[in-house]
Amino acid sequence: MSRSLRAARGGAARITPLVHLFALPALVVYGVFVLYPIATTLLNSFFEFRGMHRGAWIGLANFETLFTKPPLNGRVLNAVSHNLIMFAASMLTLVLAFVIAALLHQLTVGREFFKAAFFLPRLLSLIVVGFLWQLILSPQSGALNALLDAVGLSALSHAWLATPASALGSVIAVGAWHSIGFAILVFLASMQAIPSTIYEAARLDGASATRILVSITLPLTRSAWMILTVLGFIGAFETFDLVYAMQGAAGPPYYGTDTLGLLFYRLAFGGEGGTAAVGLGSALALSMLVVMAAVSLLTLRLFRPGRS
Amino acid sequence: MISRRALLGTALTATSLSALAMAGCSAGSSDGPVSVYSWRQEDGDGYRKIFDIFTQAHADITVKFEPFNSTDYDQILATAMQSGDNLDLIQLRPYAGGREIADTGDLAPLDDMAELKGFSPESLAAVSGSDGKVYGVPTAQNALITLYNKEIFDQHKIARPSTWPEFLDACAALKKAGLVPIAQSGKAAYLLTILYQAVATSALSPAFGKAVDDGSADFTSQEFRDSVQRVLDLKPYVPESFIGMADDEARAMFAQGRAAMYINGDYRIKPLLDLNPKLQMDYLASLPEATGPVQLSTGVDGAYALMASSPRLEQARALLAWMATEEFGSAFATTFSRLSQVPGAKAEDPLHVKLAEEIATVGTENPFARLGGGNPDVKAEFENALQGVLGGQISADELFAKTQEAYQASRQR
Repeated sequence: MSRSLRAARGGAARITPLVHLFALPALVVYGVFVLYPIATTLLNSFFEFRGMHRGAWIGLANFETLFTKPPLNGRVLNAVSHNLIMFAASMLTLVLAFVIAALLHQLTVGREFFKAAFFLPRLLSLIVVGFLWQLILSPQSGALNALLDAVGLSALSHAWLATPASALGSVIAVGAWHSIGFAILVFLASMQAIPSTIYEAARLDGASATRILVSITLPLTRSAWMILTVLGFIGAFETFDLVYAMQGAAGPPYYGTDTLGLLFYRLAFGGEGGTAAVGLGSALALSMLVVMAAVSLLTLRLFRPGRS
Repeated sequence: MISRRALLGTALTATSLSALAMAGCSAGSSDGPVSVYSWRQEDGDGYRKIFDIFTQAHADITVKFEPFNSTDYDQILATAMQSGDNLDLIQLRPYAGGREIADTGDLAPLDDMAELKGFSPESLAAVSGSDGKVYGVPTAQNALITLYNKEIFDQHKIARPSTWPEFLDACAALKKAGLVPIAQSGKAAYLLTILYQAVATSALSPAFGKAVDDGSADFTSQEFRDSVQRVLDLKPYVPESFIGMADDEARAMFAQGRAAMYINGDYRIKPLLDLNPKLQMDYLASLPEATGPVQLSTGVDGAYALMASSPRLEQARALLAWMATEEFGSAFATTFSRLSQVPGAKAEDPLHVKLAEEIATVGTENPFARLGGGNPDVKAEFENALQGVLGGQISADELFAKTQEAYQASRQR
C-alpha cells in the first residue's frame, strides 16, 4: 500500500522532502529582493564610488567621513535629532490612541463608525497625504489659514511649513493623523481579548474606572504596546515619504525637517552634493539598520512577559 | 524517497533557470526603437512630434521617447545604467552632473560629430568630461530673469528700472501701493540660486568667475558678500511666508496679477501665459549698481548623450546628430517656447527673440553653474545656507564661511 494511500486512510503519514521545494520560489524572491540588496549595501559601504560605479576598497573611510567630517557629521546629528523627536511624538500618539481605544471599548453604539473614521486616513498613501496637507498648510491659499481667518483666529494664521519648529511639528501632526487609526485598532483588539470576567470582578471589588484602566487594561495590553512601540521606532527612523512629499528632499527650511531617510536619499542618489555617493549612502543605511535592529531587540526584551 | 543530493540538485537547477530567465528578460537586441531617456515628462507630446520629423526622413529608424519625473530622473538613470539596461540616448545634466557620468566611460565621445562644429565653446564645455572630450549635444539654453507685469508697472507709473538702486525703489513703490512686489518661492533651495543668479550676476566681476575656475575664489570676500546682499535686500519685497510657499503658488500670484514681478528662468514664460494668456510681461536682466550695461545670467540646460553600449549605436548616433541640426533646434524652440543651443535655431515668441539677441551681447555664465558636484557640493551648501539666512536660522557670516569651506573641499578632491 502506498504511503499516500495510508495517509489518506488516517495512517501515520511521512511528509515527502519534495515539499520543501514549494518554498523555493518564495526563497528566490526573498533572496533577490531582500537578502541581495542588504548584502550589497553592506558591501558597498566599504567601497569608494564614482557615481554608481564601485571603485577601490576603502575600509571604514565612508563611516569616518559620515560621522566625523563636517558638514556631513552635523547633518547626521541634525537628522537623528529629528528622528528622535518623531519617535517621542509617536509615543505620545500611542498614549492618545490608547485613551481613545479605551473610550471606544466602553462604547456600545457607534464604535464601528469611530473605528472606521479613525482608520480612514491610514488607507491613503503617505505621499498623497503629504501633498494634500502641503496644500492645506499653504500660507497663501491653504485651507487651514482660511479656516482660522474665517472663525476670527487670524492671529493663529501661520506659514506652517516655513519655520523649523512649526514645519517639523506640522509634519509630525500629519504623520500622527495618518497613523493613529492603526494604533487604535490594535489597542482595541487587544482590549477586546481581555476576558470580561476580569472587569466584572474588578467592578464588584469596587475598583474605579481609572484603577481598572491602569491596573487591568494597561498591563493586559502589553503585547500591543510592545509591537506598536517597535513599529513606532522603526517608523520614526524610516521617515521619508511624508517629509519628502510635504517638504522635498532637502528637509527645508534649512534642514529643519531633515531625517535620516532624506539624508540617505540625498547621499545615495545625488541630492546632497549634486552627485551620487553610493558608498556614503550605504554606510548610513547600514548604520541605520544596525541601530534599528538593536533598539527593536532591546524594546522586545523590555516588554518580555515576567519582567514587570 | 528523493535523496538530499537530488533535492539540492533540483533546487540549484530551478534557481539557475530562474536566473537565466531573468537574464534573458534583460538581454537586448539591435532591433526596435531608439530609446531616448529624458527628465522632461511634460514635454512628451512635443518631443514625439519633433521625432516624427526625423523618422519621416529615416524610415528605417523608430524612436521611443521615455520621460521620467525630473526629481527622480538621476536615480532612475543611474539604476538603469547599473543594471545594464539597453539605453541608447539619455538626457544629460550639464556641468558637474553630466561630467560625473561622462567620467565613468559609459558615454560615447562625440568630438568627431560634424554637426557640433558650430556650437559655442562654452556650451560644449558644459557637456564635456574631465578628459576634455565632448559627450553631449546641448539642447536648451536658460536665461535667468526678473519677469515683470507691464500693466501693473504702467498703472502705478513705475518706470522700467535700469540700475539695482532703481529696482529697489520700484519694489518700495509697489509695496507702498499695497502690492506684493515679487512673487517668490524659497521652499526649494535651488530656487534661491536661481534668484541669486538672476539678480546678482552683475555684481560679480569677470575676475571672480576666473578665480572660481582656477581655485582662488574667496566666497568670504566683500565682492561676493555684496552680490549676496542683493538677495537679502529683496526680503521685504517677497511674500512674508515665501520660505513655506511652493513655486506653483508664486507663479499663480504673478500670473493672476497679485504680484508685480516673478524671478525665475525663461522656461516659465510659457507656463505663465498658459495660466493667463492676457498677461503683459517683459523681463529685466541682472542690473548694474550704477549706469552701465546689464548682464544676463545664462547657461546650458540639458543635453543628450549617446550610450557607448547602445545596441542600436548607428541609429542612435544618427538621431543625436540630427538633434544638433538647425531643423531640430528650431522645432525645439517653437514647440517648447525655449531657447535652443543649436546655432541658427530661431525662437518665435517676442520675449525669446529679445532674450536670444540680448544673450548674444550680454549673456554671462554664472560661476555657480560650474560649481556643482561632490560631497559637500558648493551650490547645495550655498543655496541651503541662503535659505537659512533668509529664514533667520543662521547668520550671513555663516553662509559665507560654509560656502567657502565647501569650495575649498571641492578643490581638494
